[in-house]
Amino acid sequence: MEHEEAKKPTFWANVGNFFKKIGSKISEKAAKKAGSSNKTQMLEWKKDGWKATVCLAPALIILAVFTFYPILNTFLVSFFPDYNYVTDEFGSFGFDSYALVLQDATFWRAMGNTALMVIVSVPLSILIALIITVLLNSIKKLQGFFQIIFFLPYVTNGIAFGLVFATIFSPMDYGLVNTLLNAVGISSVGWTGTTNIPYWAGLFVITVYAIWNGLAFKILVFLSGIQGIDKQYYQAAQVDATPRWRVFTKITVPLLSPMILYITITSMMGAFKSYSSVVSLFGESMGNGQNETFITAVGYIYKYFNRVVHDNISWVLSRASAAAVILFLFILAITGIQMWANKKKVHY
Amino acid sequence: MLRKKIIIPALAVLLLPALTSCNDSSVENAGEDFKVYSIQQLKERATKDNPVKVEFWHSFGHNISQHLDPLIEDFQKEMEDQGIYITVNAKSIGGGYDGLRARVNQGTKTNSIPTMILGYPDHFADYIANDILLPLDDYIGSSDAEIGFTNDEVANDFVPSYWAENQMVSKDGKNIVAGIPFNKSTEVMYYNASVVDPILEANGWLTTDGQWDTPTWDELWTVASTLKEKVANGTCSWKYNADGKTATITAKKSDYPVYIDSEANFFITTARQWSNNKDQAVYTRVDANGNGTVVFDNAVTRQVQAYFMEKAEAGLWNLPAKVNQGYGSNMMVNNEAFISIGSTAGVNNNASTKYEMKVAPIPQKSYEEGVQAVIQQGTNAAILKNNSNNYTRLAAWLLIRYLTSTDITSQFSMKTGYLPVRKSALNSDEFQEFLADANSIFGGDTAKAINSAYSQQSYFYTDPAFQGSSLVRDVVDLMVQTIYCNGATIDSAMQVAYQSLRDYKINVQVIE
Repeated sequence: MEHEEAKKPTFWANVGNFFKKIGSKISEKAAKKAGSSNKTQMLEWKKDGWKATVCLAPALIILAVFTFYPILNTFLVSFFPDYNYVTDEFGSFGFDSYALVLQDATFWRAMGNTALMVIVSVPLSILIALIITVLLNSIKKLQGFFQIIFFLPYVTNGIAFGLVFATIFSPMDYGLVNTLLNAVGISSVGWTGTTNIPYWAGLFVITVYAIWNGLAFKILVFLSGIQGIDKQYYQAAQVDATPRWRVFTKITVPLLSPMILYITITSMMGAFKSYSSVVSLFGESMGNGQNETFITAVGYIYKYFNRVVHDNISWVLSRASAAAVILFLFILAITGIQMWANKKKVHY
Repeated sequence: MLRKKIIIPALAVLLLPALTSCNDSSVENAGEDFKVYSIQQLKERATKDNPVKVEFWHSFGHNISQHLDPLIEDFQKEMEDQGIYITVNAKSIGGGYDGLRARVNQGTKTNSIPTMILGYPDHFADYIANDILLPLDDYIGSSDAEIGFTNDEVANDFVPSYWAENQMVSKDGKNIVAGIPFNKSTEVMYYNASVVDPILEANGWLTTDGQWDTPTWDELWTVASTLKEKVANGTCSWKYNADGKTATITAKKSDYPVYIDSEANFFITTARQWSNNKDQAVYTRVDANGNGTVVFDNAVTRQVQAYFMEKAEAGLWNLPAKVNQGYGSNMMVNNEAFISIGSTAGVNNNASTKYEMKVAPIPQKSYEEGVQAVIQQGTNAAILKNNSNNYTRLAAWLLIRYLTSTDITSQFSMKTGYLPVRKSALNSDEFQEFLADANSIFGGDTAKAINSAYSQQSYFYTDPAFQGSSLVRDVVDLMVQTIYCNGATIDSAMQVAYQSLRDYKINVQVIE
């Protein structure tokens, strides 16, 4: 029994296995294509380990300086409530910043808004992307053309994106949606802007924005995944006259499951970090003046961080850091739960 | 293994200069103890082969910097004629004045800051707190006529309220001059005279030369309600000339006939106008040590806001944010509004070929009694001491001195619409001729704005700056917007604003 317990893979082992499996799949395919043995390649790498180190060194150094160090620094600063950004004086150690954040109703409202955005936009965008992918894959004519159409938002400039949204969801009577509403006798709605935005309307626009914004990449990943599924499965299903829905649920979805998990995790992380979309739609106050109606977790962090550089109120950096650490732990926990829950449903 | 041991440290060494170059200071003896050098000392150091470099940061866009850059070139030439070689690197920092201050606050840590900078007093409060601002007292008081200002210049030539806003308290409690006034503006009232003048005339409020020179809030509401009625019954019409022919415009829609651009300016200015006397603190106050206290939750501001809310509810005025716009001028030029209160810097945005635009002072509660007030805006020039030495500081000071001289402040003003910072510039023949052009049919909109701005000069005000005062302004902006655009009550909005300030450890006090 004890022996069995010891054998149980840890969380990190699961994370490692996940990426290892994806990696080996890719290298297997590459090896097949190149016609060489994967094993031999691996052995060469082991022998010439220093080459790998040299190749990785620039990236590792840059990551260490620009990613790992700031993360560590954020952790550090969050425990020093009187940290001075300009003089680098740390002051005394304490959990005051965490207490301030956790007792702040605005923080929980920001987390609530963020969670709602995640819950609504992530499953919806994945579902829509999956449906579009399957449809795209099933058409013979003009497949390339439609692929380009769906991929266009990915290479579209953010400003152009914002302008399109400003026209569609303008709170003025001349906005596209409001014009349509007025035509059927419904009065205009404050979809975007800085004032008088109903909560449901704002959330609807954020969701549409998030889905539109992320759709292209999801379709791209799913399409590459779906095209990699062995055609024999579909041929066998065809011989058995299996209904299309069953083919989708029993062949396509299970064999795409590693991609779906990858997209779910990255989309969820992205949605948890929502900020720029909210600012571009509702201004820096994040909707309805003092109410900060659509404030997100990252919006909360930026609210305090901006005060450091704009108003020289240095001590709030610790508070912003504490909020960032809490958000980091939250995303980590959710990702962990997700990977654990999907362990049996993902087929590699 | 050996190669690995060599290559990794080698890469690290190679990368190191790239990273540390962010912290590179090109100024020799940067941050040395301050001393006023003589012009001769500067001359010996600032040679043709080795000129003294002045890094100058502002936040002007092309419209303004195209007029500033030639003045800087003239300064360099003038210095060169004296055998002093100075190279000024004037750089516009994005993000407006806030962006400029943020860039300095960020750069302070790595000492990547300029020698000379433009800023508001609350920016200077940050720089004083971070100990990077150079007090200008020793330059001003220098007995060298080529360096110092005369007592007469300081006392009688610089516009007193501009000079006063630069009087600040240093970190060690001394009174210092933090900056020299450079580009100044204020608020005025722009109006569509084609439709407003007949109403003013009917009420006897137009002067003989066709000006609305002493508008009050009560007069404004009378005009606004007449305009509203006219729009409602389809008689809000006026004639204008287009392509040599006369055409008529009829305003069909006007949510609000009057807009006020700046939430915080509106709140602070009206609070002052309704206060009992000029010295009553109704917004913020600062003690002798430079510590600020917020006092805007008081009986005066509550009374004022109740008064303006009644007028807003009657549809007579509002903030542009109410209709999801940034400036009242947007509605003015679309003939959906007829009066807009905003900065003198926005004069060209309010002008249109479809109506005659006139400019008046902002309304007062009364001209006979109580307090008259209009905010004084615009930046001042200062020197930062940490990334500069006594040569670059003196060169920067000479540039400030040049740019704020009578001729140059006058020239800069006529080209940009900012107000001259010296009375001698304002009273010069050249400038007076320029102002007289205000009534010319060929334009003169800038002159109109400057005329109106200067007619308010006797009651310009600024609020004392302290660390966090810019945050207080932001909080007030949001508070006013929430009251007028999101239906919050005055009580609840004030409470939220105070809570938000307490959250940032700003001293607040409710005055019943």
